[in-house]
Amino acid sequence: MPKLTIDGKEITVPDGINVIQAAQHAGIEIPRYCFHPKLRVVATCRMCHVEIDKMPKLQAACSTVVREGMEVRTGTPAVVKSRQAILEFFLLNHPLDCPICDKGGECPLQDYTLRYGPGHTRFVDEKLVRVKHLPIGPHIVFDAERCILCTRCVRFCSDVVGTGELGVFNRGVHAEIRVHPGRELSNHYSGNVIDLCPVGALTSREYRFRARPWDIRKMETICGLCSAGCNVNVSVRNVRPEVVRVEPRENEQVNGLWMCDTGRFEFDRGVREGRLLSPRIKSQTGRASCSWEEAVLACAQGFAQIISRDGCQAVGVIGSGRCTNEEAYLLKKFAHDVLGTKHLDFRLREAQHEGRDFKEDHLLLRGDKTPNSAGARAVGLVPTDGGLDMSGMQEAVRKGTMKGLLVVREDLLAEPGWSKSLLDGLEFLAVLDLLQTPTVEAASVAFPLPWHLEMDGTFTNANGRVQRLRRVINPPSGVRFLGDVLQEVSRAMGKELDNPPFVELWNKIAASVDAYNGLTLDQIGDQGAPRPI
Amino acid sequence: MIVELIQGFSLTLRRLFSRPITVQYPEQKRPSVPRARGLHRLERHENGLERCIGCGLCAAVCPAQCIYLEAAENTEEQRYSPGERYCKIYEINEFRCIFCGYCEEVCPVDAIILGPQMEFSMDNPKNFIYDKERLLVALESKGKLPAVPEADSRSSGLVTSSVS
Repeated sequence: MPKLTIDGKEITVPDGINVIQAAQHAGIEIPRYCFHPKLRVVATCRMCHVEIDKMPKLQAACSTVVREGMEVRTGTPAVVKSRQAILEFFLLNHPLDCPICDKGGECPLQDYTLRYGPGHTRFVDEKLVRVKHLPIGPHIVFDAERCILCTRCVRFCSDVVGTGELGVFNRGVHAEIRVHPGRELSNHYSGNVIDLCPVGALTSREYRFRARPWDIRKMETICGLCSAGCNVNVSVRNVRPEVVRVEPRENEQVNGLWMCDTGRFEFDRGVREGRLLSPRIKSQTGRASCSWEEAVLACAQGFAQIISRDGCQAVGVIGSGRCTNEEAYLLKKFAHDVLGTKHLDFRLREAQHEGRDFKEDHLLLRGDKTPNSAGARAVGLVPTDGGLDMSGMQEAVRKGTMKGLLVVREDLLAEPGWSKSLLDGLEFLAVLDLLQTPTVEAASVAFPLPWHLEMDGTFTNANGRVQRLRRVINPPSGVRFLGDVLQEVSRAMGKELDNPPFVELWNKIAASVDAYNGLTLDQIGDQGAPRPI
Repeated sequence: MIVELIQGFSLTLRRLFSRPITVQYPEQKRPSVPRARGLHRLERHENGLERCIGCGLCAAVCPAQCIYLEAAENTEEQRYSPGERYCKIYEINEFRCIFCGYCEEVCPVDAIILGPQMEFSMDNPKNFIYDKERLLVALESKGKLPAVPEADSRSSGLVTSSVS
């Protein structure tokens, strides 16, 4: 634990860290471009120059490891002059097209120039003309004029992902970041170079020109596209609210600082155009939108008819790993207490079974593409007491002993073994889903459900970490929460389903589900809480 | 005090016999001053392309928050403005506008101008939300846009000299 002085402040810091990090401990900012805590140190940008006692020249703070008794000064005239000179160099050929740059407003080059820059340039010649708005991969646009050659993106691709698509080509003032010939920046984590890039050289093709940083607010939640449960910030436009982008949020226990391209760029796959927005009912003339009252009544009657004639065990419930813990809990209560059936399962895919969800690569991708399989297992969305599991229910539908089915957040027709003719053989099929899937088309009655970004709730990731899902945007009008739908159907069937608000509901789940064992929302916080699964 | 009273009323008396200076608006109109700030308009380049690049600075600076815009990307086939970015939706709520002129001042490409037009009363409040079509000055020659010079697809739309 060396003790050093930074700008007269004496601090003791952990061994082996560099001067930038030590200054951070002391609450002093040293500007930097190439240094990034998760990447190899290269000291190319020279922005972090500081004066260190007994050293003849300015030192790069990122490549200088702290020593006992070091005396660092970050605000001397020499340092100030050096920063101004470095920034003037960076801006020599910079196009200054900030008004049309997606980074404008959240750009370290803008920020540092404002804080440490000279405020004017002495460069009078023509600026170098380089390649602009060049797509270098399925998600990334490259602008060579804006690049300051910090090589964060190069180091990320070669060291973190290991694919090494990027490199520095040519020398001196003509040096440029380029994709190696014959390749494209298409690894599963390519989106992270957008966050890493301290200028607007690498920007997103999806987010391109969709908002300015001052028009959006960042909301903390978690990604719902696989069982890794990456922590994310979702940007929502203030005026005419719309989710415009998803970025990773730091959580050392889950995703570090990264996230995959699926979660970042395909978060709204199908949601923009393919959404189910009102209840639908099947009649003699076909399928049509209907009012909530009609749909609730039809649903209640459909199940009540089968139950009164063939008994409770003629209906089954198929949940989903996409349900939050709260939804799974309410669905289980509905199946057991209202329908009275033992046939309840959610494991449509192999990876959703316990111990079958493996990592697909060395970083984040996981085999289970639903966010809450572990939670659904823990809450008990599984057959009990001799009830049928997924294959059993499929077989019962084929044999005709199962006459009614309730499907939540799953598109059965996209899964092996299920077919249109199989579903047509059912007497009654109720589907609750986000999108207009083929299963919704086949349903006797269908209800729209909110998106995971429109709900408060909890997901339990593959490692058993319980994390908060937060509502970042309101659901469209005409869409109701699963608990509300189930409660109304229960009432129409003459039973009562307790559907308290989120906080109360979670406390109830925590008290009754063994795995969660009294976990409070405060304990979960914004970083989640581990639980044995 | 009497003296002051006489001095004051003498002016009143003199004016009583001079010609009135009231302007009979709207029959008579006074000429507009050069820097009058009236109804907005969105300018074009000489070659017919829109000046606006959809940067959103006007919406950001607007103290009345009456500007809403959405940007999009020019394509090879469909080019609206020089450079990469153009303004897809541009709306000004003239009811809310206080005609401070900040939008004009902040615009990096001199796209938005507050013109001399002061008379735009309407009977439907919805008409006060001016969209891009109504704000944009009409093309001088009706019909197709002129061929786009190579410089336009390269420039950012910010440097005026590269366009004209």
